[in-house]
Amino acid sequence: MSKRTRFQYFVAEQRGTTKTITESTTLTKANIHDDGNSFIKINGAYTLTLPAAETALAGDTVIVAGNNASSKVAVVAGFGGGGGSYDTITAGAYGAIKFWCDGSYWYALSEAVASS
Amino acid sequence: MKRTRFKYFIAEKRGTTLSKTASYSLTAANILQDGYSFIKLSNNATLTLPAASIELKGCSLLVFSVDQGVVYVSGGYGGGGVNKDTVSIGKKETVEFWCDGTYWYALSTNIGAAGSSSSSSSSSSSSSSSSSSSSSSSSSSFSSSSSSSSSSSSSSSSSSSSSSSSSFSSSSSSSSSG
Repeated sequence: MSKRTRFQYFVAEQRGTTKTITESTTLTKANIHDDGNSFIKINGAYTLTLPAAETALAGDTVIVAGNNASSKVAVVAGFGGGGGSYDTITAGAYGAIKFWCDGSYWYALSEAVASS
Repeated sequence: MKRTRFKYFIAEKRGTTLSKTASYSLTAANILQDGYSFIKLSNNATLTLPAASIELKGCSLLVFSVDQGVVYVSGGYGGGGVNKDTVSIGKKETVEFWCDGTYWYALSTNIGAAGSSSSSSSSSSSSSSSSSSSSSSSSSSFSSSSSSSSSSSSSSSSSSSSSSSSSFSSSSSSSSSG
């Protein structure tokens, strides 16, 4: 067997406590850093808003899963700083999206970004 | 702050590549013991993921398709059932899969049903191309017993653990062909 250090199975990837939202919710930095929520399930036609990007969030990733065609994720100022035309993503029914923050902006990985 | 959450691990190198030119069922041992977390598919092969289990919690896989590959999981992605059990990966595209211990999730891609042609690979890198809609209205619900309590958690110890026995209780019978 090869080098375990290369594996992705760190505790970080386990993503701690799952947070399930049943109404539109704004995630906070404390949710991520203090509560350990980095895997969020949207239960219904609701929108999860990510916290404003800031240095303290640099390097953080969050995975969001939806179970409704209108399960969405939003961020103020847009993904990658794209502004209001690029501030919302639909996770959809059983879709899942990974987000990453560079300290200035949130980025949606491999996903089309649209307007709210 | 918890540095263990950062993504900058050597782990991102993902070790030995597993290349498959024919359909293949990946096993938990392939992931946990052999260390495969990057799989290359060619010749339109179908890769079947192992059933999600607690030992696979936190595992992620990158699957690259040389041609037009398919990645299937029994029970469906996110517990979406048979209408959400297949991901088609377009030529030269890569999709990440992640397991929460209960289900596999396909990150940022459209999910379809095995046997139907509804699935489609997602977007290009440019961010144009239209969304990942994904059909089926779904009357499903996440039943999470986890809840986010544990606010105490001090830094260092990377919180985590937690059972997060969340589960998609999917009653989605949604249509879509078969």
